Amino acid sequence: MCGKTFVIITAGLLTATTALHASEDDSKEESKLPEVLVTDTEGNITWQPTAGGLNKYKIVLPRPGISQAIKYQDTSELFYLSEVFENSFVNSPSPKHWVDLSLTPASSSVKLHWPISDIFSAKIQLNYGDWAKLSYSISGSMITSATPYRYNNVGLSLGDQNELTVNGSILNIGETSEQFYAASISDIHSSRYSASYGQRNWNALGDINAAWAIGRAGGVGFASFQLERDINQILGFVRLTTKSGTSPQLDLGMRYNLSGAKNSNWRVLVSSNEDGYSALDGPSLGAHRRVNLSTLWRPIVTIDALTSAVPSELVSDKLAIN
Amino acid sequence: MFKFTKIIASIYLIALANTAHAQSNANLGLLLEQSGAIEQLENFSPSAAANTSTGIPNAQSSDTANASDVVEDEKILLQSEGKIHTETSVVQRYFRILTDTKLEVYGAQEFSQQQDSQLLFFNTVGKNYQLAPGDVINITLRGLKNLDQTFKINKNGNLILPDRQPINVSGLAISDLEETLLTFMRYDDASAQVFISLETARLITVQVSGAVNRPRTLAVPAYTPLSRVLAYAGGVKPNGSLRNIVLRGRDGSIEEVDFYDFLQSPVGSNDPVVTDASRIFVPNQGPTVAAFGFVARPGIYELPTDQSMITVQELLTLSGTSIIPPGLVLEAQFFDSNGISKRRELTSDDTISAGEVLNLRFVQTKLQDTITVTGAVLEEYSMASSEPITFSELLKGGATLKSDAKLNFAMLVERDGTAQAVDLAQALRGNSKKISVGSTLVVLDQSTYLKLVNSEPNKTDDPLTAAVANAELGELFLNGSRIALLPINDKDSFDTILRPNYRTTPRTNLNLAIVETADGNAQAVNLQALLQGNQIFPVTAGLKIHLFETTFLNRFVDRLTAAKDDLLIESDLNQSVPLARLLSRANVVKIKLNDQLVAVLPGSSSKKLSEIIDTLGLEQSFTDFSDFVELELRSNRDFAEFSSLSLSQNYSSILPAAKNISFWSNTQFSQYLNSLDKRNFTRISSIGVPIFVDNKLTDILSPTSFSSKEGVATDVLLDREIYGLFSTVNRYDEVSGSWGTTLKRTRNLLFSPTNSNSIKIRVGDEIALFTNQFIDELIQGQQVQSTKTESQKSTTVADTQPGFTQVFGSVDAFEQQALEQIELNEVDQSNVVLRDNNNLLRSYSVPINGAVLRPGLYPIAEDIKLSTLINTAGGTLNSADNKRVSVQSIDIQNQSIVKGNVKTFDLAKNDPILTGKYFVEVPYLINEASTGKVTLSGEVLYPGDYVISRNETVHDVLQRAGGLSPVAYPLGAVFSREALKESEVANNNLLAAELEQSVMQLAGSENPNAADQAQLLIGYARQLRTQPTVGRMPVNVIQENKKNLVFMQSGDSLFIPKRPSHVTVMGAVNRKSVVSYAPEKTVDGYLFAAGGKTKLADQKRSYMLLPNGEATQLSRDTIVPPGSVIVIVPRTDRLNVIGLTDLLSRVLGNIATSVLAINNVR
Repeated sequence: MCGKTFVIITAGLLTATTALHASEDDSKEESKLPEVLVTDTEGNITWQPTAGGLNKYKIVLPRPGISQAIKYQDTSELFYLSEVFENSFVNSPSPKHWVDLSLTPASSSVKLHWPISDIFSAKIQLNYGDWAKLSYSISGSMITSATPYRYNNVGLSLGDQNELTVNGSILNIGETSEQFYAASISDIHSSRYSASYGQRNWNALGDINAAWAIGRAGGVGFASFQLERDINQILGFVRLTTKSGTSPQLDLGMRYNLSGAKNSNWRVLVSSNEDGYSALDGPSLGAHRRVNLSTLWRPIVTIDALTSAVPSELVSDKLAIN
Repeated sequence: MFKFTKIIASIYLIALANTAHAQSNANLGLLLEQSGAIEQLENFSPSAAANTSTGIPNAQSSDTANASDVVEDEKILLQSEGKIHTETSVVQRYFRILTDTKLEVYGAQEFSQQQDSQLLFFNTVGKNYQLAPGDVINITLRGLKNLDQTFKINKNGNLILPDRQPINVSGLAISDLEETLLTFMRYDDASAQVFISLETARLITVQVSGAVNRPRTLAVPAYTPLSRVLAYAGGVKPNGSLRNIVLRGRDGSIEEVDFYDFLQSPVGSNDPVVTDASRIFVPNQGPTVAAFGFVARPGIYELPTDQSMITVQELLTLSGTSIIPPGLVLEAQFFDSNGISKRRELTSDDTISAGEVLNLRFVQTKLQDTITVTGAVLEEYSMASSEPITFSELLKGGATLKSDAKLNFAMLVERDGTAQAVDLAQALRGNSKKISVGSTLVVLDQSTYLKLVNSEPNKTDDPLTAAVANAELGELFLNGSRIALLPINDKDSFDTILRPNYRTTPRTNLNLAIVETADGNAQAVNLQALLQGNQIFPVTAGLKIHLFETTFLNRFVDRLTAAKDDLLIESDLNQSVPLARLLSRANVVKIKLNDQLVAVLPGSSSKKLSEIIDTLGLEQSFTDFSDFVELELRSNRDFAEFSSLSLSQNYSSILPAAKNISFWSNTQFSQYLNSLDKRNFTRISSIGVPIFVDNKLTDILSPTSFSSKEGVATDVLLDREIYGLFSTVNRYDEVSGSWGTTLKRTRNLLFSPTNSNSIKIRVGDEIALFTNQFIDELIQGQQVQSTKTESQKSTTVADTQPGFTQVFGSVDAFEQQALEQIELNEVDQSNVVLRDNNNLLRSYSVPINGAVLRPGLYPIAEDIKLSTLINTAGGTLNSADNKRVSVQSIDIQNQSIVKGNVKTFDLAKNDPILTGKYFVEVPYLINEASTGKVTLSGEVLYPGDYVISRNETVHDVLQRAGGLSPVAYPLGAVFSREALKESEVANNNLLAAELEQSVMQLAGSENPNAADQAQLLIGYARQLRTQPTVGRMPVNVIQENKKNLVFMQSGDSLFIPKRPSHVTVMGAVNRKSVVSYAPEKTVDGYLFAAGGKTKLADQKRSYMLLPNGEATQLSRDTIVPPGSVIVIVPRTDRLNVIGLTDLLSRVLGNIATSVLAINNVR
């Protein structure tokens, strides 16, 4: 794909996603309470933070704390007074679908995800490759096992060429680093497969994360090292990739997370690198670190949301105790 | 002065010597011999020295002394004075030896009486008085010319009358002068009459010498009789003669005067007057005889000159004895040649020689058929009677008695000399008693009676006193002194007999009187009883009734007791010894209280302790008495025998015959026991049973105390909490010569001593008791000791069984048997202390643990019921599980102490008897309701202490406390737990130590900033060690995590602060700050407010402490609630190569935690 075409498509997709995001914000105005906030009969609010279509935490916001937050117009205390339950990773029921948009010089794609159950999800992927043709695939995935610190996933994809691809990934997460294993094999007759292993260290250099991966893809071994930094909802990165038989390649990219929509979520990846080539391109569980809970908290648990979620008669000046 | 006078006198005498006057010459010698005369003359008139005409004083001038001058100056009479002789003469001594009577020399006293100088002028001189110079005459003229005037004849002998020429009257008699003057007067007047009288005689000098009492030269008025002159000379000495006095006149005439004539018959007396310059010489006495006895004038009589014997008749005449009644015996007493006194009978015609004595001895006789009354009667009389008469007849119904006659006592002396005391009042009332003929009734007045009472019968010549001594009568004594004599009486009561002689006073000891019979038997009786009894008290001959005053008696007996043999050296032997012997003979009991004599009681009336207590009036204080009563028995043996009684047990028992009974008050008895020395302890322990409490002598009991069914419950023991399960009886085994110990439960020993388990306590046993406190302290001490003994810990059983080491730490102790041989300590001199029984106590101790009031070790002496042991430990607590009381037995196998069976009992159903060695465990009920107390403070509605149940959470308690207040800050809740606090302190100290160690390493570093870093680290270390800790545990107080419930523990505390409005930033920032909080502020905002991070800041390791104490990793998006502490950790590499960041991070964390907690609390 020529550079001009890439730029045009990228600009078009960004415009579209921005427009979509804007419509999501508009809809949020109508309903202050995100879906992830559920009010029980006692006035407590349960919040399940969602990142990457997954849920791990279940956080119970106590009604007295909510009252205090509303009273002082400050949710900071409530954040720490809320009870945090750490569960195994499951598919998040909300948003009901989300979109990954990937724009690279080699190919661009649009992936539509929607969860079917806690462990099953489906995806439709539309690719626009080097050969200037569109292709598509339909895939389903299943969380084979999960703990609060591990996530194993197996997927099966069927392309328009009847190409069948099986992929799997394993993610181990800690508060300072994560490991990932990814492997796929497709079209067994052509023996196309890839496998890679990587690790990411958050804040390895101040605010900069460091990640690396090694593997084999397209019959070629490779090694990548990536530095990334998260600024608000945009993750920018620089990647140095070395493939066997070729000179090292430096790529740049950015990922834009349009979260907060009621029923959908968009992630946009713009990179000079080929998407999906490395495990570094795969999903990350970094958003599910505890340190990131505050990041998840801020946009969701607002005073407005609390005020709308809790009936006024349950808001009391007196600090009741659950 | 005297020397000057002699010079003047010498000049005077020289002048005299120049005169040719013969008389003057004669007197000169006398004057020269009598210096006193010279002095007298000098005193008379100095001008007299110039008178050379007479040589003696005359009446020429007023200076011429005469009798008037003597009145003015009596010394004139004493011309000179010789030595005064007052000794008894040899003759007197001789006759005294012979007659045993002092006899006076007849007539010697006649001239010894004091002479009155006024009498000088009453001499009867008559008209033939020859005038001389110095005489003063009174001349009365009647006729044509009357004159009434006195004139003194001047020293020239002239009488100078008015209008007349001087008339020399010297040598003229007064009558001659009258004639001469009349002759002169009649020349002019034929009717003239002259009357002349001597107004005052002149003085003359007379020398008296020889055997007179005061030989001297006297100036006496002229014409003084010889007898008067002798009197002025002090009289004749006893050895002077009265029968041959020589009077030498101025003219040299000698006259011998026998004054016996003068004394015998003044009519024919020869008492010549002395003339001027006469000399009187009294020669020594001639031969003498004496007369005494029934003579009128017993005395020594001088025989006439040249006679050596005299007839009896003449001597009787001399002695004035004119009557010689019938029955009078004349006898001569003399010394024979051997000097032995002899007598010979004489008649009146016989002669008696010089040196012999005539004794007229009267042989008395009297009327035989009379009855005589003497003494205190109006007039002593005798009443003739041929047969006995009554007292009333004799005394005329008492009319003959004097008013002060003593009626209750008189003496009746029979003819044969026997005497009898008589109660006159009684005798007068009745007519039965009659007086035999020949008797003498001596009626006594009070004073005579008292003399009799106080007389010493053996030391008197008084016949009445002697008669009393031999009379049949009784005597009454007070304090050992006789105060009354008692007539024989067989009709009256004691009170009647005593009342006239003695009235009881408050001082009288009514408890004791001693009645002593004539045969010496003494019987102590109760005086009060005697006085109150109406029975007749016979007073027999020789009966002695002894009364005492309490003070005297007690003091006397005290002295007697204290002095014992030393009493014999006391001054009042005569009284003390008989009285002491009397008390010894009489059956008296000395009663002591607290070692002080309080009473002496008759033994016969003190048969019971109750009677003694009653007699002494001690019922009120009886309860304060010690139960131990000490007795000194009445014994015939040489040594004292003692015994003891129990006051409570023997209160009404018949007492053995005792000499001393000693009571003690509890207080004094305790002091007495404390001060016992070895000797006294040995003595008292030989009659009693010493009670040692906590190894110290506390009480002594009589063996009879242990015979009570009620038990031995003395005040001393009741005052203490005596441990009931363990006591010992130490008994000396004479066969083995050692002390054996028997262990008994206190109840079986003291409080139920008659049951079958008791031991029969006897004299010499020693009982050791222990107080609960002693047991407690002893076991506590043992516990401390046992935990420090490694050897004890090595025992397996000891390790697994609490309390085992306390009891069975020593195998030797465990193997002690119930009867073991121990040696008593030597009794200390100052304080009697029993041997240390501590090991014995420990070896028999049984542990009881768990839900009893006083868990611990309890010495057990015998088999015991489980319930008894539990009760001793204070009983089970309400929280005790009485159904699961376990008893763990202890056995010995293969020389090892091993655990035996464990049996569980339900106290309501089983009460086993425990024997051997064992442990007892009373488990607690499972307590679900109350497991402790917690404190809630701060912003809760009802802060305070809350009792918590086992499953209560912090939220439950908060609900009970009413929940949080509107201003509460739940996130800042400070939940403290003691265990965590200790852990926090330990952690801080550990960190501080690590820091300090790092400083040491830093010292060797070449880092140029090492000094600054070291200072920083030391500061952190100091802060860590000193900062307060709260033992905090994060808790969410408003939401309970059902999966992680926070259960309360006793001692927990929860503080709810108010919502803060700040955030603290510390660590590697430019300024440690407290920054105001704002909801929208980010971490960067707070860091900015703290001046920003320093170069040392390590953002990656920095963190934030939440107000609830939790820490959270710090990121840009970190939510910062109010009250948080942001901790920026310094970088490692900037500090030191050894890597301190981790350490510093923790240090800062701990410091920040404290800061946080302090912030919250404040």
